Amino acid sequence: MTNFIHDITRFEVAPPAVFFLMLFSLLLALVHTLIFLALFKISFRPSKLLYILYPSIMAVTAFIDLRWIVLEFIVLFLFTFVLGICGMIFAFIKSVKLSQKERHRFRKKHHIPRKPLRKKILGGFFSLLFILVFYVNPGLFVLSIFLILPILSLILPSKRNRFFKYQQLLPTSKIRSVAMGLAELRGELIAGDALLSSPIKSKRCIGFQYSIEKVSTDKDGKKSYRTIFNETKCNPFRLKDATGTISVNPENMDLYQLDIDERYQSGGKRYTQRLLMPKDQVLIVGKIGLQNNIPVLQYEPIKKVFGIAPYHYITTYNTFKPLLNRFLSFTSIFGFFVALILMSTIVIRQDYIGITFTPTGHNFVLLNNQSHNKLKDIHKSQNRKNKIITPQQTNPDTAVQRAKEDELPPEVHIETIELPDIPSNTTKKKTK
Amino acid sequence: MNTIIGYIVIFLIAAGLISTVISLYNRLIMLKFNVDKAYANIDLLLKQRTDEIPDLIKVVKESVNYESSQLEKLTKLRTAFINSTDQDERVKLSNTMAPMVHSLVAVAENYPDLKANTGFNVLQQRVSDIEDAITDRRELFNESVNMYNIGIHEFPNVLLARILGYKDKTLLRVSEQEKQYDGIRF
Repeated sequence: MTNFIHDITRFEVAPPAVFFLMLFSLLLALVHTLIFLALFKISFRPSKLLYILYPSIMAVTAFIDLRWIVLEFIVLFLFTFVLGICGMIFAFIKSVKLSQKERHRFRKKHHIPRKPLRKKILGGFFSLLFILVFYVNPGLFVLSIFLILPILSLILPSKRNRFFKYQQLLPTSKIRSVAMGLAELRGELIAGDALLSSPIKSKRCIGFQYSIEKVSTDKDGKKSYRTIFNETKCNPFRLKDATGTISVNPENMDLYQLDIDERYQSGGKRYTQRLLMPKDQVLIVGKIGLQNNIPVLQYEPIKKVFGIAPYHYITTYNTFKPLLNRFLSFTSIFGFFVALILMSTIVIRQDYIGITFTPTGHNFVLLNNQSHNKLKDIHKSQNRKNKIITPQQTNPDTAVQRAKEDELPPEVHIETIELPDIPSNTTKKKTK
Repeated sequence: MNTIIGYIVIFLIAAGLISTVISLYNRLIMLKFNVDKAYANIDLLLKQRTDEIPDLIKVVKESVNYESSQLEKLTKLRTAFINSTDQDERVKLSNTMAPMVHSLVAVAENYPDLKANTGFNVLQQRVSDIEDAITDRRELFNESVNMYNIGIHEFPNVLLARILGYKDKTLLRVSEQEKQYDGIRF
């Protein structure tokens, strides 16, 4: 380092070079101003401070000692990188703090409880583990994703899946005669004693589902949405069918596929409101229990199911679900054959086609030399019978030659067939 | 790499297949037990209706000169119903009792004193409610049976149903006795 400084400061710089270095320092001043402005959010007063400062320092240095000016320029140049890195770290910390502040404000506004520390630590640990596995062994990462997700969904079916499963399996009861226990009821909603006020436009309703999603746009302008807030509220109500009415206790009740009532986008967020209104035709799956000796539809704690969905959606779901299942079955069968092909080595040669199933080493020969010869014989006999000559044989000399080779009987008359669609070399030669 | 992808695909298909078999099994079990539950729920109402008979007989006896042989017959049928454990027999007994209970309830139309009796009116209303509920639950039972029968005949459920030895269940039909209307007899 000392040697480097010594080498740099050994020679005096010529005055025209000083002029050029001062010009370059203006360029550096521009870059530095931009870094201060964009990353540190600092704007200078006067705004052109660095444009004056850098050339001035260089001029003063040149005036004092012409040997130091190159070193000064190098320092200014390297300072650009240091400033850039520091600026990025500063901007990152600032954005984290800002988003934390925004999240806090958002939580406070919507009364969202803080995430427990245990959950935060666990989440962080698993994220770190996934990142580590991804960097150490990407193959294992993909495999673990494929293994864990299906097994988890198998062991822990979602509430939604449970609701749609039970609505398919349970017969619809009539309110008048509904028995205690798990039941499915269909009917019209009747408002209870009080109605709720919806978050958007304060509409009077039995219940609502309100969600806020963060909108992200990728390079192609494609938008993606991440739910950052979800709120479901419902007041007690009654369900009515042709035979009677029943009270519904909405505690732990989930609302599925309600129609969108209001939706708008503002400030990088999308706000959606879905309402449960009086007179809506719905289907409910839950437990019939007794409250003050009166039958009430409520949460089923053993099967963990209690949900409501619009009846028209249930009809659509029950129509299309079997079709989707069929599609999945066919895709699985197709996937199975694709997997078999991927796990096999296929060898194709002129006289041999074979498949080796790699995991077990089993070899399946589809075509070998003998069978190839047999095929040749069959082809020959067919040619004899039909007197068919392929387009390549349109040249009479070649055809005769091939006939000799194939030992065709002399009585076979070989004709040249004109094929207008396929231009042959022979025809071209003739026209010439 | 291809072999690894092949293994992953095979694993996913195997996992999907196992989960499908488990869900099919659970589905069949649920359908079967739904039918049993629906049947048991009808039986409960039949029992409830039978429990109303002594009170009905008592009120009618006090107010009206009702044919005593009919009342005795009804009492015997009720005792037989309570003592019986066989489902089919219970249904038969219940079906025999049904028109008798109807005529007992309908008696009030011809007797203003009985019609004015609050206790009788309450009983009449309760029996009528139970009858309605029985009708609804019969419908529910038939729906459960229908879902079960379709469930065990659908592909691929049919394969598992055959292994489990599941057979068709019969729907509840209105008996000839119930269809027959003899009018109200006293």
